[in-house]
Amino acid sequence: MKRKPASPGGRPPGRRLREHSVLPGFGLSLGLSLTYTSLIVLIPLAALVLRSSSLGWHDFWEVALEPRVLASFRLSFGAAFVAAALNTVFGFVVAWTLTRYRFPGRRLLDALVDLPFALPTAVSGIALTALFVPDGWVGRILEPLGINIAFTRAGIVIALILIGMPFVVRTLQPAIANLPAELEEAAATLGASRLRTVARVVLPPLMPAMLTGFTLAFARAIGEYGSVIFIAGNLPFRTEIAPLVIVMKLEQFDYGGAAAIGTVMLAASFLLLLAVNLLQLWSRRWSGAGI
Amino acid sequence: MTPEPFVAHANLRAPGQAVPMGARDPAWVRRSLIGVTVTFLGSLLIAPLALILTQAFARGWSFYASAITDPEALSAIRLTLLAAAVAVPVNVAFGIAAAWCLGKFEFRGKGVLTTLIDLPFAVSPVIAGMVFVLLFGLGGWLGPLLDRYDMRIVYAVPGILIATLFVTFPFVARELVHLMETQGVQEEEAARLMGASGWTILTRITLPNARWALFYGIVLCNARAMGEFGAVSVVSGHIRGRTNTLPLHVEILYNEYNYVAAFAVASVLMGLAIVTLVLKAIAERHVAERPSVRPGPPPGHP
Amino acid sequence: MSIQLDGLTKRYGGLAVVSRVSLDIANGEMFVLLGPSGSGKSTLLRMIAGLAEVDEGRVWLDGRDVTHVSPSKRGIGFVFQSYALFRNMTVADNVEFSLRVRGTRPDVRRRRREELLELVGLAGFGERRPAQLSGGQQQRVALARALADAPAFLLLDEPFGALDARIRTELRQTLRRIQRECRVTAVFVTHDQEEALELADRIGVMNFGRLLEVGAPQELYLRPRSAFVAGFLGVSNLVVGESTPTSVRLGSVDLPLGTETPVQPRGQRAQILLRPEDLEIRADREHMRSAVIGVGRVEERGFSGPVERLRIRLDPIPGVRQVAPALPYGASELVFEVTRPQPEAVARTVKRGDMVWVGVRRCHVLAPASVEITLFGGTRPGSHARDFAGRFAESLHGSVRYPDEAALLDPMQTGDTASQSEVVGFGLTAMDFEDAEARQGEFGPGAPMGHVLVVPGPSEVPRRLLICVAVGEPGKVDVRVAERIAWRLDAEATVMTVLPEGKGVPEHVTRFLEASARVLSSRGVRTRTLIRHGSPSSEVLSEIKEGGHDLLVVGAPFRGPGEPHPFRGGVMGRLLRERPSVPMLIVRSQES
Repeated sequence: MKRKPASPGGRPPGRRLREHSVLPGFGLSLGLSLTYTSLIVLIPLAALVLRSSSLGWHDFWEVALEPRVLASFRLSFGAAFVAAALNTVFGFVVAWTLTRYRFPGRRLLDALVDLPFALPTAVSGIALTALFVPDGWVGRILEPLGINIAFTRAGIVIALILIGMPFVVRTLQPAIANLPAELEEAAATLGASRLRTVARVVLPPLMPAMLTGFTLAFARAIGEYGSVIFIAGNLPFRTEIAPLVIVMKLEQFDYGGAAAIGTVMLAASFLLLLAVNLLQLWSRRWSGAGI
Repeated sequence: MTPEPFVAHANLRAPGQAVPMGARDPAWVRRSLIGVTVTFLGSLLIAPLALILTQAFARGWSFYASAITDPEALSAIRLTLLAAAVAVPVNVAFGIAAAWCLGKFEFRGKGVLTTLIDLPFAVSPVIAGMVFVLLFGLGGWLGPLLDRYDMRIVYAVPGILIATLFVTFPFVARELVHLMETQGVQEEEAARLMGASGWTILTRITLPNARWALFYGIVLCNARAMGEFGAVSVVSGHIRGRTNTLPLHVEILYNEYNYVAAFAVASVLMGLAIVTLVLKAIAERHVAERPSVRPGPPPGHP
Repeated sequence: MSIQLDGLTKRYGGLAVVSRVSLDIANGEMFVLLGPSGSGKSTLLRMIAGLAEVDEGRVWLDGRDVTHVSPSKRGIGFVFQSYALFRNMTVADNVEFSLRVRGTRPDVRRRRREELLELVGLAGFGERRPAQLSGGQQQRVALARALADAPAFLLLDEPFGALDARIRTELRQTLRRIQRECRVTAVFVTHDQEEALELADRIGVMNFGRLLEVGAPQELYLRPRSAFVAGFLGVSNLVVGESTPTSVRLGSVDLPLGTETPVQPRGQRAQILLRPEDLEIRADREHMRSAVIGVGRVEERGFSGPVERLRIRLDPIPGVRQVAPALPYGASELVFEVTRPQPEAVARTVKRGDMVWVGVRRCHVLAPASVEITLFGGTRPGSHARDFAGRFAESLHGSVRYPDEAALLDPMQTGDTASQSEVVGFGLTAMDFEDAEARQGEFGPGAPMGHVLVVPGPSEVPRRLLICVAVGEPGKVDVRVAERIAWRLDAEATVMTVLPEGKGVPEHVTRFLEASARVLSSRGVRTRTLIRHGSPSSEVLSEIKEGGHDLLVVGAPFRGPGEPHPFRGGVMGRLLRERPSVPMLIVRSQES
């Protein structure tokens, strides 16, 4: 939460452009930050939106709703949703186990949770593919059961689970750790069983963190490219994700089409970022002092 | 009053127990949840690592060595190092400036700037690459102008560097901003009252206090700069020996069915990832509040 | 609905945070556990509630042994310092929680909730969320929630610690009223003596994990047994003087004692407690209505509402040393805290710098300390013996005599070991290693007769004692002294003997060691025995290292005047020359 130092005159913050401070260098550092942010982030993203708007309303929707594009959107959002949902369940178990229990290997597993952040996605992409192809380590077990993962939608979901897992775990871990033990102790002294305590006392305060983790994993999975393209098979209408359609359009110099799809995805990202910020506010209300 | 010989009671935990008695789960629940965790993380994280290593050495040491010392591989390594060498210092400079104004001052629009810094995390790497193609590509807005002066950005090294700057943009800044917000301004104000200049305050007080957060941000920024795939793939044009970074090189080898060489190069990147995790763990031990387990979007990585 | 605790002990990593606490709390009583932070009071409360496991001992609630019963089945209400309200539920849902858990009918539930909210003064707040309430209101809700299922016992862990002073006073009154109305047996943990005195039917004072004294507030305030309790329950002026069966003597003044004070043997040094309100000050001697002890200068004067606080400095009185308030090391004057009721302060004003007569209206003699450590030498800065003796005495609840006094008493001649160890605990002389070494030659014909503690370097309060016994040594005073120390410190003990190389272990050696170990373990000290072969001094030194021991106890029988100096030759001499890294307690015993 942002600290709002009490302004000297009791004036509510935000009435003036800037609170008084004795520290120097505000103008310089703000100028540098704004310039660099504009150059690297704002102007390029604005260019994207302008580019797609130059298509005109009609053409824009024609591109964005083209059946093949629509199918790729459906796949990208659908698979991302399924992966994020599974991650929320498993991520909760992982976060709970790593935070609440002590067992050999815990610290190693805890450190490894960040691996998907640190491992280049191309590397995790080819590794997952090699695991799940029919003669791979896992594929060999699944093939006789008639389960095919590689080059199917299931493969896409698995890659997206890998990518999104740390978001859920790392969002839930501090929430679980900061859950005051007194809450559970109070429930116990009031006669509640363990199951009831978890359901009524532990899970409700964790909801904001769970939803935040879900949203972050979902947002991340929608745009994911590197780890998916190897395992996806990339068949139009079936296993072709939206970012891949953009790449193809770029390769065909269909800049307008690529920009239109990109704009739709960018809008989705913005909405999710907004959702995350609202969730953060909500979770602060849970943990905050109230008055 | 008597000195305090014991740890505060609320923090006392029996050995092997992370929580006090009233908050413990039955043994069978504990065992099955640990089982699920180990299986889930084992198959998702440890199996791929093991597979990369076995595949990389599938044809022995000499093949491995030749795969990673191949001229194209070496040029990819060089370009990867260059990307990191550009991204890290630029981001450190920007990160310090951003952290100074966001962490030490209250002003209108602060929230907007903070959100803007996080924005590249939310953007698909493909879009991150595409925006620069739209700007600097031949069919792009500045493309004709650049072409007239025979300058190339997209499908050349500058494009790779700019795309890397975009995707690594938030790492250092958000770590420093967060730290400086929690640390407050009292030390700086005290120094100011004693007559220190802005530069002295920054270099003698603020940065030494923030050194581990800075280190942490650099580690993440560096990992992302070296490992970026999607954005760089879009702007690189895949010119062998010229615009290939290590991750792109992996893709090319894999698509040519040269699996063993692909995994050999991948194992180099995997080593980088493990070093990153170790350095990250060291940094986290020094940053009072573990950044990776604080609420908020963790750093992403395509 | 009584609570009985029997020898409750809780250890964390070998450290006893609660040590052998036994206590009976009567039905309907408001019992306050008072102690500084880290004294073990919260852990004790959590063991009663079942929130912390019991390592040793038993908990009985209403005659039922609940030592291993889960907290949810003990029929207790618990109030936390942090309120621990369920933020996702309304106030009403919080209060009804325990009833809902037990499947109480909704209409009964609602009635009970209304009743409780009324009781805590929050009627009509049912639909609010905890976050919309102030801290004091939240704690009222927590209190109502704890009482919802009409528990027989109410346990409160520093419940008002996070609230500001005014609200705290208000809540104290509410709690006292509710506790009486509900006739619930309550245990209240706090570190605030004012809160304890005001609330309690009885107070139990804890320090270092032990329950030191139990009594009614007035009883404990006026007649504490130990210096710690005296100081924790209020401002105390504590001096060391002489006591006789009917009076105490401060310099030349005899102060009569009330009949309630335990009878002291004649000429005993005693700690005398003078509460600030027990001292009288006046500008003129004629009007003094109490025993005058001297003239002093007003150093500080402060106003605190109902009373005026004064700090008076008196000239030194021979034979009287001040313990509290603590003075700078080496100071010999007396500085007393005095309070006067406001009307008196207005009627007879004094200013800073005025000279006033000081008299004593009432005084109280503390029970003799369990151990008295006389510091020998130890005047040089950074004396390890002084540091260690202070800490050691504090954790044994004993006292330290400082060199100025020691010089008067001649430390080498004070040790009448036999009588001291039986009657008033025991006495030790503590010295730095350098002093022990330097004095070896100066002991003249006789070595010290009392126990000697040699401190070679900075040392912590001992946790693992190594007791070296020579088989067949008479009296076993060393084992008994070690037992007292180990028991009071809750330390572990190893009884060890060293036999010559290559010899087997004769049966009488084993029997002797086992007998020694029994002496220790009969008091509940965790003890093991050990036999090593080889040269005694080097085996002892290596066992100290390998076993992680932090106090070496060695017996040195006293063979009467003219004995060969035991510290110079033999095993003791060699041990001293090799300079063990840990403090070494040399226990003297009379040879029979």
